[in-house]
This record gives sequence, structure tokens and C-alpha cells, in this order.
Amino acid sequence: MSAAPLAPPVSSMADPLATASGWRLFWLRFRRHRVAFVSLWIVVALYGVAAFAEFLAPHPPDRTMGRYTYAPPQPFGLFWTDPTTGETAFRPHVDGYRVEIDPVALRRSFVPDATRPVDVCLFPRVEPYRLWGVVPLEHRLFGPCDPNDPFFLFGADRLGRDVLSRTIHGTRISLSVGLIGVALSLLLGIAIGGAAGYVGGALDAAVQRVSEVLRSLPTIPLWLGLAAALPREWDPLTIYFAITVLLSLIGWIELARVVRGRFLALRGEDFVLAARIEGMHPVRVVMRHMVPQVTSHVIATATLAIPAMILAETALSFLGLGLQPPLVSWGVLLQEAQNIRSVAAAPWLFLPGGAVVLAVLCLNFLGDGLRDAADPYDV
Amino acid sequence: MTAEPILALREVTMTFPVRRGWLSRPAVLRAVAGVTLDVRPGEVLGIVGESGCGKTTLGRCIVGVHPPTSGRILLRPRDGGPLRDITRRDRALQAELARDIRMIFQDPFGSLNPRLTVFDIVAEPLRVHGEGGDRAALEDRVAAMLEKVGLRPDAMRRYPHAFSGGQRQRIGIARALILGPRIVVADEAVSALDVSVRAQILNLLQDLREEMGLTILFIGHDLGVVRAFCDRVAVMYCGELVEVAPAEELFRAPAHPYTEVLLSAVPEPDPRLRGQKRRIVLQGEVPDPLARPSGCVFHPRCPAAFDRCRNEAPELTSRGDGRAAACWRHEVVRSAA
Repeated sequence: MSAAPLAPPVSSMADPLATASGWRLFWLRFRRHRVAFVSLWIVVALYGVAAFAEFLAPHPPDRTMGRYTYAPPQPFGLFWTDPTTGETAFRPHVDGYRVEIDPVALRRSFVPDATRPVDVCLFPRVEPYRLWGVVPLEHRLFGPCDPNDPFFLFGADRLGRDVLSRTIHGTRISLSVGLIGVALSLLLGIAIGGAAGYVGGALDAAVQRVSEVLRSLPTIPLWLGLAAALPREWDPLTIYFAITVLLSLIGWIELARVVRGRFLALRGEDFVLAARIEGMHPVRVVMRHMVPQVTSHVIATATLAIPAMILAETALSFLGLGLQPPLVSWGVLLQEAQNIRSVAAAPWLFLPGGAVVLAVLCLNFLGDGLRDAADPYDV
Repeated sequence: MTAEPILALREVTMTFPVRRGWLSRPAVLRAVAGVTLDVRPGEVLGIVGESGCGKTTLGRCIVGVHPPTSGRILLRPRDGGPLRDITRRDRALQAELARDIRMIFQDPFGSLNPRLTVFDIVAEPLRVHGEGGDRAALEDRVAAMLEKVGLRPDAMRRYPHAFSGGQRQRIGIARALILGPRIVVADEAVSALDVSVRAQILNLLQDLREEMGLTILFIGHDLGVVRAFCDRVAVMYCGELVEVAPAEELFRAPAHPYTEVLLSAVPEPDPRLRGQKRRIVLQGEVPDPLARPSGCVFHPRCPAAFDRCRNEAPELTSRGDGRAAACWRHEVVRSAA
């Protein structure tokens, strides 16, 4: 040995970055992206809503209150002033309704009436129900103290159902379509793209051509055609899974292209070459040296694919070929709102569209942030 | 040849199909064209040539990245028996050979998996080949190896991004040497490093070579480094070996016109001597490896080419003094010397 002193590492041992794994660096870079970071929490909250929909929604999604069809949203207040005494006290409430009759059209309509407050409680006792169909509960997070009082923060639809409760329940299906669809796309995309990128040659060429053809098909007519081909007698849940499968049939292409491109680049990297020279099993080379390099990219692409799935489901359901009414999704809710009466007299029926916009925007910001954090060549 | 070779290449040729579009017929690129070479045990054999001359491909054929299209690669077994043909390798043979023939890569940034710690990188060969036992035993061996290459053992818990280029190259060397190989293919192992770091790494390789009795195939294009580091030098041009000679001899009196040109391109560090040196500037370009010239590959650019060069390809022939050159002018050069 030469007498050369042992070279100390560049950064001091105290530097936590030196021993930080790739995931930790990924997280630190992601944290710097403020919008994406906020979006992450909103997305987490949305999935929380989806998970605990029964508990969070003040009503079951299919509870009709025939007296209150097309009731408008009620304003919520923490303090209530008694109009007779003029005293103000802490009393969480929503305004009740007063019926007004249009003297010309003789049409009945509801107007919020501040003099008739409906008391709002935390954890009101309601009819027993089961969370996820399993856990028996008889309280909800919030709601009217008297379950027979009207309580429509987002208004009511044509059958007197609570739009807020339906939107909350729709979250579950709309967001899970994205997740399940992307999970399926991910399986297809990683398997097909990975094989194309690792093996290369004729397989790669074949996969590329097939995905180019699939990408050039107009998606909405294709989905419409496939969705219309589903047997009508299937129950809604089967239809739901069939729709997610249909969506992921197109969704895998983008993921496959990302994975294929990364694998193609990685295959020539020296450290992959080193592993191959070692005589390692190809599966081990792929799992240990290639997959970990693409996971952050794949997560970013998958996150960006979820909003596309949500929009696709919404579009299909809106056109009436996706999910059918016993199921509640944002698309189904919007489909029910597509008539002139809603536009003219009950614009609150479009509030589920706001939920779609919020979810899609946040997932897009989140995906952007993840992609930036995953890209090592971007500072 | 004086000593029995440890590794012998016989007419090794490596061709790649080149696609110009997915509907056109692939052209054939001959990256390595019929290389025959003996590597003696314990020597440092330099392989030089300009970019694209096939030296990296040759090194990769030897370590087993791609099987040569034709020709044979022979290896002397550890127990010294007759040469063994290792041209075609299944995975079991490749794994077995990975203990004997290892590679040090050029790019200190691309050659280490950024997601693994230094411990995982250096211990991987031990794990793959079922050596080293439990975690503590592995850590001891990795620590010892890291010290050998001049790194502190506590470096093993860190990730590659925490190290400089030179230090990463030391990690790459540790990975190459931890199994105690006999032959190391160092593919441009110092080309990507700063000059000062380059000297450190060369000294380290020199020390390790003496200590571990390594045979090194040193692939490079920096002739100064090759002259200082190598015992013998093989010069490649357009996939072919044009000259093989002991390093000092080659630099003192090149036998092949291409070697002469190559040497004349080395910058002279001493400004007082600069004016005295004759720089030979070649006409034309390196031939397209897809359309190789007839006869000697060098003839279109050779200042000394004559009719025979255009029609017949010269073989690499020994001159008897341990030197060999592939040139029809060979006889002329010798008589003039």
C-alpha cells in the first residue's frame, strides 16, 4: 500500500444528506414544491373523505325527503339572533325553509328563512348503519339534531336527496376508479414497458407500434363503444369494475412508454452492466438495479394518470354509459343534473363538478411536484 | 511470446447490426475485426486508439458483456492447466468467470447504483457468489477492502452521491477487487478524473496490482498515462490491432505508421522542445466502420501507403523482438532502423 492518507468523504460525516437514501432525497426535493405539498394534503383529505364517507356525510346517499325537492343550499351560522327578543347566542344552525309560491307560474320554491333555525349537532344520533358494511355505528360526524329536520348544505335534488351527502359518497367511487384503474394500468404498463425496454429489439418495436395505434384511437368513442357492449343485466358493481378495466386498457400506454424509456436508458448504464457481468439472474438485475431507479418516475406518472381516469369516468357517466344511478359517483351526479331545469333553477346540482375540479387540480399539482422531485437532472 | 498467456484472444470479431429505420435492412458494423492477442500474467497491457476504434468493445467481449460474433477467447484456469475456451458463456459460467475477470468502468457517476449504499455496492459480488457469510462478516470484508483502496470504512453507510469522482472510482475499484480476481479490465478507468486525482488512482492501481498479483488490461486514449502505467501496449485502429510492443519500445520507435501519427499527436509538455517535434496531420477521416476500405484499413490515410496496401490486408506479424505490427512497410522500417 502507498502511504497515501485515507481520503475523507467530500461532505463531513455529520451531513445527514450523505447517508440519505434516494427516497429521502426525493422527499426533501418534493417538500420544496409548496403547491404540490399542499395538494398532497388535500388529496390525502379527499381519500380520507372517500374512506369514511358514511360517517362524514350527514345523510345516507339515497335518503329522500319528498317535501324538500330542489331545496336550495342553506346558509350555516354559529350564532343565532332571536328576531323577537334580539338576543344573540351561540347556536350552530342552518336556516330553515319557507315556501314561496310564484304568483304567475304557481311554482313552489324554497327560500332559506333565518327565523326558523335548524339546530346542528356534532355526532348526532341517527338510524344505525354500518361503516364499510361492517362496523355498526349510530352517529355521524355532524348533522341536524333532529334527523327529520331539513339539512341541505349543498341543496337538495329532484327527489329531495342531500347533494352534499351524495357528493361525499360519490368521492368513494370517483377516486377509487382512478386508483384501481391506475393500479391496473401500472401492472400492464410496467410489465409491457419493462419487457420492451429490457429485451429491446423486435419485442420493443412491436410494443411501440401497438401503443402508437392505441394512442391514435379517439378515446371517447372507443370507451363509448366498449361501455355500450357491457351486458345491461350486470349489476352496478360489476359494471363499475368493467369500466375501470376499460379505462386502464388505454391508460397503460403512457406508463409503458415511461417505463420503457427509462429501462432502455438504464440498460446501458454501467452499474447495470456491472450487475450483468456478475452473472446475476436477469430478474434480480431488474428488481435490484433497474426498478428502484424508475419507481419515483412511475409514481409521478401514475399520479398524473389518476385525474385522467377520474375525468374519463366522469365523462362516461355523464354521457350515461358509465356507472348507473344506484351507484353514486360524481359523474352520475352530474348526469342527473343535465337538464334545463337544473341549469335554470337548481344550479347547486353542479356542485359535484366542483369536487371533480378540486380533485383533478390537486392530483395534477401533486403529480407535477412528484415528477419534479423524481427528476434528478432538474434543480 | 516469452511467457505463457493467462488470457488469449484468437481472431475475435464483434459485429453489431445497425438499424437506420425500422423498415430498412440492418447494416453490419464491425466494431472489433479479428483481434488476436496474448495477455501475459502479471502484466499491464495497454490498449490504445482513438474514439470508436473498438477498444471498449474488445474489453466488453472479454468481461462477457457481449459474446463475440466469431473468434475465441481463452483463459488459463487458476490451477494452471491448459487454456479453456470461454467464448460462449451461459449464466453459470459467466458467474464463475466474474470471480476471475472483472471490470473497472470509466464513468465514476454511472457505474455505481445511486440507490444502494457503498456497503451494498461493494458487498454485492460477495453476495452474488455466495461468499462472506453474515452481515458482520460482510462488513468486515467490505471495510478491509475500502481501506485497501484508500477510503475510510465508515464510508460504507453512505450513498454514492456523497463522494467525489475520484472517491467513487475507488469504490468501483473496491467492487472490482473484493473477490480477488486475476484479470482486471480497466476501461478508461481514469479518463473522467481530474489530472491530480488521476495520478492517485493510477498509483493505487499500481500498488494493488503488485499486492494482489493482478493482470490489468488498461484501455485508454491518454498516451502519457499509458506510457507511464503499462508494460506493453496494443494499438487499435478501426477495430483492428495494428501494433503490439513493449511500452518503451513503442514510444521510442513506433513500427506502424498509425502509431507514429498517434504519438505525434501527444502534446509536448516542455515548451523548449515544442518546436522540434513534428506533428503529422492526417488527411481524411477515420473510415466509416460500416464501409471498411479494402486492403489495409489505414491505407486511405497512410502517408507511406503503396499499391500492395490497397489490395491486401497485412497480418499482425511478429518482428521477433517481442514486437508485432500489421504493416507491409514493416520490412522497410526494420531495414531503415
